[in-house]
Amino acid sequence: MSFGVIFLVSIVAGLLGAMTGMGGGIVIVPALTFLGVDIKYAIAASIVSVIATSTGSASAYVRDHITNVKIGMFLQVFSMIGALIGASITVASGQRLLFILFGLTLLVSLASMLKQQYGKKRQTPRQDPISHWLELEGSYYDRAAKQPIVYHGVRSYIAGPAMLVAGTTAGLLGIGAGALKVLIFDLIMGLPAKVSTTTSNLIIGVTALAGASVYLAAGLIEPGLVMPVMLGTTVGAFAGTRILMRISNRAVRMLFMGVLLVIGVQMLVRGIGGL
Amino acid sequence: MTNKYMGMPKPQEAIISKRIALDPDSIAGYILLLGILLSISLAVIGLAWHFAVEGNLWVNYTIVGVNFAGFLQSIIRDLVSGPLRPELLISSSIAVLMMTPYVRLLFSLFYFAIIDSNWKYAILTSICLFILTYSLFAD
Repeated sequence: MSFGVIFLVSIVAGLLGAMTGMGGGIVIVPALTFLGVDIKYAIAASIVSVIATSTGSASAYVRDHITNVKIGMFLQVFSMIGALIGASITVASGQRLLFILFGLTLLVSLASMLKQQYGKKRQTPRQDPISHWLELEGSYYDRAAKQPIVYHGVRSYIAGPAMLVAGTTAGLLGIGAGALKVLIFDLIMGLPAKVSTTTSNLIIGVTALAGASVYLAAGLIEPGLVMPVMLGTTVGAFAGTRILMRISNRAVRMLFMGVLLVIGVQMLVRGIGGL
Repeated sequence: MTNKYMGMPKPQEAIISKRIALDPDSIAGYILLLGILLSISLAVIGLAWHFAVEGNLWVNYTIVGVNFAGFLQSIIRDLVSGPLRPELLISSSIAVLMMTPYVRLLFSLFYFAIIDSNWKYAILTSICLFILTYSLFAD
């Protein structure tokens, strides 16, 4: 196996992941399996790289004061438990099941991206007592709108269990599952888009860490593989967030959706067809 | 998207920051930044050293299936007793990366429990830390 090839593939995955907000894991795991890496080692390497990319971008986001640390803290309890469950399932399960689950997740992510494009903005209902008790609210200064945005989160009692599912997916497949998390923030809790993406990113790091601890204990973390994946996705994500400002978001999304469709179907076929 | 909002305090934070020189969000951000920079530096130095000795970038060693506590112990033991090796730097890079979100949570606990005196969130942060501590350090 070559460091260079894996490094380059990881840069591309990190770039695409950052530019679409889907994270690099969803591309890097299938790509590594095509290069001949055992899917469990690929998942373990990917989850370590997810800690790196999430931590890197969270370090900037948190200082922007848009991330809501309280909402993150509440929901990360659920997503961490999910990650521990998910990673344990991966360690114990067979290869084919992982390919099928990964293929399905890719296609579901594709569907969610399609829906997101045509989604309308909705009104946030009044805050329920539980969310109010949990202090799930905040404000930030929106520079584009030139005014402070005050918001509150609702339906935290549904968001919590939903986050357990998102965390399980993350731990199981070695991905950030950011799309799923943003969906929970957006559709269930009714938070502004900027708060959703930055807070979801903060949770992703801790969730990936919980998952990584299981993979480490199972002996699936191979430094030779982790290094190019971690460095590559970090470089890619760093570049991606900067390129994002210059090129059309629509073109990137279309490209990414195409990539998801192709690798999603491929993973399913390999899983069902016995690799 | 990020840089546009850099350094823009949210309205209520602007008042608080007069009392506390560094707000908690910024400190948490710097902890994360420090951790990721240290981890990447260790990885790059380790790989460069490995390349200088072996002539390739593929590090070929395995981390035996131990939990994080065991992993950390073996790194510290090797750092103390033996000579510094590229593999040791690479393992340290992974360990520092994994410690970073954990240290950020420790800081959040300190903030919620002592500075903010917010018992609800001190408890919630403790639950997060308990789960992580269990998965990282217990058998």
